[in-house]
Amino acid sequence: MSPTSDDPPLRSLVIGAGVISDPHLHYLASSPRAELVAVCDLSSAMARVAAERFGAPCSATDYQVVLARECPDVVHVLTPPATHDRIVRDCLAAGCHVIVEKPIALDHASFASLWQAAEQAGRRLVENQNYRFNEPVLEMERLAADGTLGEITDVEVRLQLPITSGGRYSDRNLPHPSHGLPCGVIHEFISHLVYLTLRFLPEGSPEEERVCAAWSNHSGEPLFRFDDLDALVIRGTTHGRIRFSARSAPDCFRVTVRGSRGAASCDLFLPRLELDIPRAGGQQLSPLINQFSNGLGAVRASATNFLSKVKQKTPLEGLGTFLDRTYAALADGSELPVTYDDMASTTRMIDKLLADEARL
Amino acid sequence: MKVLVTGANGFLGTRIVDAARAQGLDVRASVRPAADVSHLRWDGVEVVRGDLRSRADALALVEGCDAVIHSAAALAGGLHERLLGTVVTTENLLAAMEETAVDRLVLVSSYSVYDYDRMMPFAVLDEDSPIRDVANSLDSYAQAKIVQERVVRDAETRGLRATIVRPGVLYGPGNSWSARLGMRLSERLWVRVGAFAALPLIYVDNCAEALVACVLSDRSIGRTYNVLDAESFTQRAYTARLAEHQPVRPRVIPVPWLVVRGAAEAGRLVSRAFFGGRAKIPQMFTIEGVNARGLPLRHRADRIREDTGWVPRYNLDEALRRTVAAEHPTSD
Repeated sequence: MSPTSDDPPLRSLVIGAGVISDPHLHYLASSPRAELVAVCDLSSAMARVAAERFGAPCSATDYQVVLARECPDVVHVLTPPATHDRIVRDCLAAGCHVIVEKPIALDHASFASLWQAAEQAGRRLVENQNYRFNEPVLEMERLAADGTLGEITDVEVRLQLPITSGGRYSDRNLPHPSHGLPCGVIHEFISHLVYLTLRFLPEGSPEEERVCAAWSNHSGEPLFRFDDLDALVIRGTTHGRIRFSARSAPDCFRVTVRGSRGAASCDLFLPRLELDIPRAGGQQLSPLINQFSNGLGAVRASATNFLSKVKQKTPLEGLGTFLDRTYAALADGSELPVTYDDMASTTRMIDKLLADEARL
Repeated sequence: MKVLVTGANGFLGTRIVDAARAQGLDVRASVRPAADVSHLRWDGVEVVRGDLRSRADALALVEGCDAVIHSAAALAGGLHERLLGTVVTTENLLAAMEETAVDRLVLVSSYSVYDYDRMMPFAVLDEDSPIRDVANSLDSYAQAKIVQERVVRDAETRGLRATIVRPGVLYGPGNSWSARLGMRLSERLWVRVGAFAALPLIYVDNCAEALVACVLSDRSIGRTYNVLDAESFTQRAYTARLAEHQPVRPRVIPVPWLVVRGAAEAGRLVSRAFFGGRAKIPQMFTIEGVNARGLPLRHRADRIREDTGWVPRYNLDEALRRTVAAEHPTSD
């Protein structure tokens, strides 16, 4: 949906100029739906550089001052998770809609309280669940919805990032703040794993689902609370597996959905949808057609993924779609692409995975 | 005078500590909490661990010092990592200095801040030469250094007495090769890109002494200096001298700079035609990268000598002899 010429752009403020701010700022700098009015960061220099790179007219270290002076319509809260609660409340109180990076809150009760604050302020609150809007995931949702995969039996979401062997999460000089979160460093990623899994699990009473989770620190690195998660969520007759490994290589973010008629799978870091579904050739020829089709897909993907690298497209491609749909909904008052139920079920599931009774 | 040296266990930092001690200064050497300093032999040097990304650590490092020589910087990573490791650390350092009333800073910046794209071949490069545009540069190291300089100059309005030093191509033990020369594929096979461009060389011990001269000179306050060795060598001459000093003489494959420049130009055209100018090209093959590495220029760095009286102690042959002796301790 394109904005009409009558729609004035929404005035946007970004709080937090770290790594994740880049795709948000790219969107804000290029979308006709938004007008970037300022960037805030505790570091004056970081805020100023971001403002210069993306054409914001001002930058500041104190977001309260900017909230009062610029009266933005929308605020993107891109700060570390432990700071979300205070900043989101301040923005809601200032009359702004808030888009917040995952995890929106550190537990479900905190999320529910934030939601209540948004309701009271009459403003809208949404968590970035960007990977839901990556094209392969949207395609898998279509295949599940139109019955191509049949009744969904299994979902596996697997993220492996060898972060114990280097990088900012294993920096011993100044430990990354995420080590202090309830899931340790896995809290940085768990929302992605959970909301993707929940997309393919059937509706059902959360009380009737079975959840168990093995949280481990296999590497024994004292910096890490956990470096591995292997969790099982059974809802009705559908099994969901949530897997995180900080030791396996290479980097991979694979979503696999299996059903009574077929299966779909994709690594979101190197997008190529692999399908094993019924084809026009019937039961005898379908495996062969799938093999040819997936082979051709691999050839095509090797070219498109290379070009994506050259074009500097990242696995965060879904963020643009998420933001565009969010801005459209904020402008016309329609339903947000990530709803209360989406966020509530995600935070509730993370609580369950961490609960003592679920521990393996 | 007690001087805090940040990044004290780095390539340049260790030499700054030695040069400051040689001048009779008290030295506090700042190293990061997880740094291995067991190989360093520092008698009479106070070694303090801290990470300048932490404001509390910055305060503890600065307290009790009279001046700071700030050489710590992020040497790897993308723009955000470099801003965090180079700029936020400097902001924290300056805040700590303000809080503890330490007002003297010598900042180790970089020659990479210059905008080589806006210089004509054989132009003079001095401290007044144009600086790159932070927003449009593709070199995250240079971007961070430009912002770092800006942060320091802003702090001068709050009473900071600062000197900014832009060393040329630093070389010394463990660091005798430069991206301005091309690629060292192995010990025995070097690819030299360009031949006639003058290298802005500075031997690491010469640079360390220049930094200490700045901290001791009131005339350097508020000034920005390029720091270079006394002699100027072309890429070909330096590579030949460096090769002579190797235990086994390497084979050097020359590649004309104009060929690489032409390839970069072709890359830019392809990027504009097919990728809206946003194609990701390795920095060393961009026009900006190629110009920064090999544009023939005349380098000037007289100001620091005039203001501080610093004179480079080591000439190229002596510096290379010391470098190779440290890199190959068993060779002659």
